[in-house]
Amino acid sequence: MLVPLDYLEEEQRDVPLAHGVVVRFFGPMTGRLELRVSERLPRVVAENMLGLDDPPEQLQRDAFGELANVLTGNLLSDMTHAVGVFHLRPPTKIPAEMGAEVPVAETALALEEGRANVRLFITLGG
Amino acid sequence: MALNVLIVDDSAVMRTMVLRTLKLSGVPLGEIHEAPDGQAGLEVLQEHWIDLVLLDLNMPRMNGEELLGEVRGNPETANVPVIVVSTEGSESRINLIHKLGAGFVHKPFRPEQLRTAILALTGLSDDAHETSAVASNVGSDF
Repeated sequence: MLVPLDYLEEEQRDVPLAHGVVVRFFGPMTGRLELRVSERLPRVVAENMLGLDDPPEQLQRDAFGELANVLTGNLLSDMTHAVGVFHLRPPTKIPAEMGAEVPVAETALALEEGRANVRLFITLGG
Repeated sequence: MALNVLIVDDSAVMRTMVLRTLKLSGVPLGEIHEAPDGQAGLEVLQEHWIDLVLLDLNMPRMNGEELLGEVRGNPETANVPVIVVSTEGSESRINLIHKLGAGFVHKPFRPEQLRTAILALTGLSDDAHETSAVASNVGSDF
């Protein structure tokens, strides 16, 4: 469920974000998508993607990165109505704390296991 | 007929996920090969009999489109079925993929979607399966 930040339940808003990853993109628009999630999310993502119980941390990180990659690809496709050709850099780790820069769009994903925060930055084009 | 499959993706976790979805699709599988980029995939194609290639687009060394061009340009591999599995959404890029005779499956995807694309490209009949049915209630959606 994608919801504006204001619609998160209070207990969901308070769950600390513990992991961050960024995917930079180049094409009709240049920018980056930052995905931050609470502590348990990378494990849940990896378990669901790979069908493994208790996947090792490296696989959790990789699965989390791939989630950000898929999210970025689909978002850019929707934003450009499937016209733009984009090049995506591999996902890389970023601090869980958010920077002061203001994104052009931000949303939150409320999940039983915690929450995710998605921030979109566009530096050229758009 | 069990399919020998080559999965080409620079992400190890995505190769694992594609293989898992492939198994859930119920398509009969033979040997499974993996490659982390197009160049390595080309080498596998030269050394093994491959019935189906599942191919990512954005990869180092040789990307998916370059590999697809090499496969189609070589008489020995020109007819190997290839399905591109990608987050790519650009119509022009997807049309180019189709023009090169490859299928396309958009990430995220379900086992049923992969199965449909495989059957369409390989000519396998819909009753070709390893398990009793496609696992339609499985939570995998990539």
